[in-house]
Amino acid sequence: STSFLANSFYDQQHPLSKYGYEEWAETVKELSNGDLNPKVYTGTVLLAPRANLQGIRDNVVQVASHAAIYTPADLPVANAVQELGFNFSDPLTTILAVTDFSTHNATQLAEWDNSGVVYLGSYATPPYILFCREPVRNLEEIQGKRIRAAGSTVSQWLEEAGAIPVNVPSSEMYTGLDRGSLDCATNAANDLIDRSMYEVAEYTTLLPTGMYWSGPHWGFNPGFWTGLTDAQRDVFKQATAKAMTRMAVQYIKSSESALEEAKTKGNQVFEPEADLKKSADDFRQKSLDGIYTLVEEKYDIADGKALIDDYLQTYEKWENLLKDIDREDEDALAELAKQEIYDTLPADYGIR
Amino acid sequence: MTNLQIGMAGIAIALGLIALRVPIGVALGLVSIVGIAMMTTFGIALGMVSATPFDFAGQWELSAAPMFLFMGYLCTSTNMTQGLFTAMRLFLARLPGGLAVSSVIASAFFAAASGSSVATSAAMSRIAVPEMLKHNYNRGLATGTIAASGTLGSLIPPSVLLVLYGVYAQVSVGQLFMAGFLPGIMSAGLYILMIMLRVKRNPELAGNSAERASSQEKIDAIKEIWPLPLLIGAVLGGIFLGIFSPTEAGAVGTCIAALIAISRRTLTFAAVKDAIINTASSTASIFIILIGSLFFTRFLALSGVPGAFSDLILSVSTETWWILLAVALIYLVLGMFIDSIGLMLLTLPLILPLVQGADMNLVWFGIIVVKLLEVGLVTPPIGLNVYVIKGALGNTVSLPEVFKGVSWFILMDIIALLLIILIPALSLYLPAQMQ
Amino acid sequence: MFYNGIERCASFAAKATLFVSGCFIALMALHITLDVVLRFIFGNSFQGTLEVVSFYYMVCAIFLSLAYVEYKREHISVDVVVQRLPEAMKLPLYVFACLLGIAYFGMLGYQSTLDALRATESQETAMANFTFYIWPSRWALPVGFFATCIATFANMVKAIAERKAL
Ligand code: NA
Ligand code: NA
Repeated sequence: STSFLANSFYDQQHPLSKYGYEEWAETVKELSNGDLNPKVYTGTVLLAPRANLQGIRDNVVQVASHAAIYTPADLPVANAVQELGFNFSDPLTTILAVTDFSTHNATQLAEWDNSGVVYLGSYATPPYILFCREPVRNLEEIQGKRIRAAGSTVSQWLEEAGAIPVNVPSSEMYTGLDRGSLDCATNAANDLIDRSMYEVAEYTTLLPTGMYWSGPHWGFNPGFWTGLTDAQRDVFKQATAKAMTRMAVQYIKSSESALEEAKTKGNQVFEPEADLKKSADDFRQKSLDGIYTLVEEKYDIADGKALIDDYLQTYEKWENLLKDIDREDEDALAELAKQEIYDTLPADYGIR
Repeated sequence: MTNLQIGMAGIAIALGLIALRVPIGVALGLVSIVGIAMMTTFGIALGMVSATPFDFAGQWELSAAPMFLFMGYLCTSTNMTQGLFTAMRLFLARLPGGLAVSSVIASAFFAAASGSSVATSAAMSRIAVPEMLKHNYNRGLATGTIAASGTLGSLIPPSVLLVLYGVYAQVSVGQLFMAGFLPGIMSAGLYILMIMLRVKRNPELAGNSAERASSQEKIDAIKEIWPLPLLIGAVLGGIFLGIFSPTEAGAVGTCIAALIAISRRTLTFAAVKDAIINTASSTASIFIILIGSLFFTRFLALSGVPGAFSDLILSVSTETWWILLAVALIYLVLGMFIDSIGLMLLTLPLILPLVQGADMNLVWFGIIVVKLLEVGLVTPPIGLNVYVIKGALGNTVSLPEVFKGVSWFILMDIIALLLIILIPALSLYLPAQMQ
Repeated sequence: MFYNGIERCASFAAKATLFVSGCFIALMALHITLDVVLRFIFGNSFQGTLEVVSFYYMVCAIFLSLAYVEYKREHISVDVVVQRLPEAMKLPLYVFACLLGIAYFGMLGYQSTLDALRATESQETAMANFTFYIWPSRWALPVGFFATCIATFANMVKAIAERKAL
């Protein structure tokens, strides 16, 4: 049997670890009848968050999750596509579209190959929303607010809207909001409960401020991947199709239930008012208009239009594929992912 | 050799090398790398080498340690601490071990502002220990007091460890913060009680018997009291009012200390240079151990020793009392070798299901876990707080002196743990009021 | 002759790296405070404090003062056991500890050189709300580690020359 190490830097209870790694490992064992034997590490015991790509490449771990935003220079293509994060808000469509794109687009595939990783599946967070100490419903109320945000596009918008984007590590978020050195934080809704944010940020604004998906959630060491048998690689594809779709469904569910739970605990949840929403929408349109040149200049991509358009087309394809499907039917979604993504990969996918 | 055997041999060899006077950071790091290479390949071990030191050093939160050291060194080199301690010496003459007692209290206040034990120890070590030594305090008592009181940083809220536990065990951080308060105060109280009893029995521990002061001397002393309280007040106040974060507080404190020194005309070039050189070398000597112990945590994690050890002990029984005892054993033993965050990440997945199964209160349990992790910060051979003190003080004290001095405080920690376990209300009364 | 050369070399390496490290420590205190003060007065400040502090000041402060620690023999170690050993054993043990130190820091230096070369080639950046290059600070590691190797070697040579553990 083949033993290997799998590493997810999210903590063990986080949906991306729980469904993406703990449960995924069980599935891998089951489907291979114990032939594949993963040892899962969660959190930062083995590798710091930004060291996971390096860890995969150097074979310290054989499978790991890596967020490409941590290493912009190593993964310009993935980061270029992530520039669209502020423009999307549906994690289910995104996780499938990104996986499809990342395993089929030639430019992106070349990047994985160069950085020493075989890409098997994506993650996608729900859209980050605003958790604040005071109500932030409109442009007037957002003025001068210090907001923890991640990502350059959303930061630019916040500045344009009159807020002050700040970079604060997640471990300081709770005390920062508690003491008032932060006014708001942007995060996925499940953090309201999972990180106890509801206690220090009583006002939630349902304004999507970007979502994250860049980088492999299941990135394999190429040598390890090549050394597997076809049957073993098949197990990984199946298990990943299953875990990925389940992870997306459950992540969305836990975000929705966290919002409900926060409400019962006295949290106030607002829809953004028209002027705030318009400001964000206008910025989205503006950034979409300039995206080709942005990615060409910022990430040194040769043909920005081809890259971005391919992603947008893939996204559209998945919007259509998901139209007539029950978005909570994990099995049907996994089957669809298998058919549309994994079954269409060449037989020698990722093999060196 | 199996990985488990390599892991255990690694522990033994690391201890042996440390005993042979190999620098602790070198012993831990080298054993880990060789061990990882034996379990995997040398290439993979080198991969671990390239993935560890840079990413560890480049952490914003850790900048609190050098900055608080800097603040402390600047206080000493510009002679800012003397006034307050002389005055305390005079006014607290009747209090056995007055300086040590006030250091515990000061640490508790500091802990209430800072989220980390290491920052608390770093800040207090330079301010309090040299003054206590100047007054001929027993070295073990002086250093042990600060090393142990530093651990209050993670029990008295706010606390990075409690935030992490809260995320990990999915319990309310606010409740954990409330729950940590009384046990933290109680621990401080036990330390004070122990210091007073020990000094009462053996006054020599607290240096020369107190000098009788004339009223003129007292007035002179009062004039020189203000710099340190002003500095500490500004640092704590700034954190409480949200003007700066606990991480930023060390840097701001350094600049405030410099301003105070300017106003007292003691900020010479030599004083600044001295403070910077000492900060640099303390920082490096502490961080090289931190990096070594991080390698060691990773090596042990890969070897499976922590999991196997925990499984072995937990499998004995599922009764509540045994789970608590087992957890204490696991944390005290593994806490000797593994840093607190790593230990939590490695063991909580095994422990939490049992705790939930036994229907224990997770908030209460979190306080027990954090208290145990705090004990790990002062137990040999890898006791982070002790190394911070040692790094800050250089060759004026020896490591065994500090560990010996801190052992009395560990005894108090064990009593505190028993009380926390036997009287859940200590942890749960305040959170219950909150709801 | 050889001994003097190596000693001078070690002393220079240790002091030069310490100087740079010290500058970064002072800068760290000033930079963070300036950020806080501007924020307090104007409600807003410049970007990038967190990134500069983490990836430049911290990295340089830690790794560039390492050689000085070795040069001054301020590494934290335990000597209770060695103190009780016969005098004749102390020098061999000290040389042994130095050799381990050279092996360890040499290995870290070797690997961090490869990492620094790789980072330079890819113009490594870090996650930030703007483009933030971090590859230059990668070089603090090999510089610091190799300077530490030299300092350790000098101490070892000195101990052997004086036939006495330092
Ligand atoms: Na605290
Ligand atoms: Na310990």
